Amino acid sequence: MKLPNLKRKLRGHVGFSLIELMMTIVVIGVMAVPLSLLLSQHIESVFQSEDDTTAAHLARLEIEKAKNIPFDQLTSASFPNYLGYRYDVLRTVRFIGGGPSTPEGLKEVRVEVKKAGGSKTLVSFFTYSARNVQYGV
Amino acid sequence: MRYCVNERGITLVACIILIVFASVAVLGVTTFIVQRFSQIEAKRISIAVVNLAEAGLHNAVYHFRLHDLAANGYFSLGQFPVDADHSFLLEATAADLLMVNTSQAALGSGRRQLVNLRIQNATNTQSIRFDRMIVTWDNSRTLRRIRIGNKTVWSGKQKSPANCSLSRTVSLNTLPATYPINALVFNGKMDGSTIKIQFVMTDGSAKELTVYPAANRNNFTVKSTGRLSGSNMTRTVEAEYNALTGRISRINEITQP
Repeated sequence: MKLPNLKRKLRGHVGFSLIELMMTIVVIGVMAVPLSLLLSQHIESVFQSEDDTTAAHLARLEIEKAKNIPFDQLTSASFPNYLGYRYDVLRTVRFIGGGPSTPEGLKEVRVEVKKAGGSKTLVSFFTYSARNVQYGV
Repeated sequence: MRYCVNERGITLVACIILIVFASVAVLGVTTFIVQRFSQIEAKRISIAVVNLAEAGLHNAVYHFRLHDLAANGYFSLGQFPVDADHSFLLEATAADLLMVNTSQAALGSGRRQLVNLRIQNATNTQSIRFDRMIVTWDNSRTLRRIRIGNKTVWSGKQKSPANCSLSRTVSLNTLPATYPINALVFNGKMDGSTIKIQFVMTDGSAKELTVYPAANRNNFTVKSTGRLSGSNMTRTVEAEYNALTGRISRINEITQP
């Protein structure tokens, strides 16, 4: 193509790419702000879900252990870095019926799990345990 | 260069397409994470409510045993809060609550009568009633009469199985009391026979058990459902407690998580 022909063809198109590019940058800029916020939230939530899952497993494990402790020996206890995990487990036991010297008694067992050294409770489970309740025929 | 005319806006279109793809990808990740979160939350609630259901069972057994120290044992039905967010619901059918003490069952009066059965309502929350008894045994004798609470509630002449519609409904009220089944009168000796009774309650539920030979059995059944506020998920555990042995003889979950 000869140069005069090219100039004629491009007449009126000069600057289009620049305008498009600027518009694109603006659109991407507008979109990028919420997307980046969303992404950071996702990353945080992935870590949070891992915490919650582990905490739930540890709480469940401690509840099962508590169920197998003889009634009179079932007392409050705290376990920093429970089983080597970076979670603190707190078992709170209190009488809600009867007492240590009564023939029948009912204890509430509450298990709470927090991140090691943290203050936010990730999981909290409850159950009751009654004196003299045995299983089997 | 004649294609330049058709390339107007190509950069913009390409970038918009890119943004759309990026948005779809982010949306996909979001959906995945939200689902994962909801699954984890559901699992946590599922564990929490089954623990609450078991708390309910222990609560029922504790109160039964506690009252049994003074007179006859009983427990209350209904919803019980553990705290503001956690609770359990204790339920039972009339048949579940009917306790039949078979430990003293014996043959009396010429070995023709089954005597010394006692029945009891396990709750103080509601009365329970039965109006039919289906009695089965394994010989050719006939059943002639049934006496409960010192009154004849059925008479006739039936071979096994005897389907006996009682002339009066037997009601066990909310007082912690036991009631005697005075006698099941047969027309001959019942030695060596196994006698079973199915009690048909007025609420449609039924309880069948072997009443002779005597056995260390005086059972009730209770269903406990764990609940967590803000969640529709519940789990129900059913247990059978034998008041004579002090043991939960059967426990199983009756609703799946």
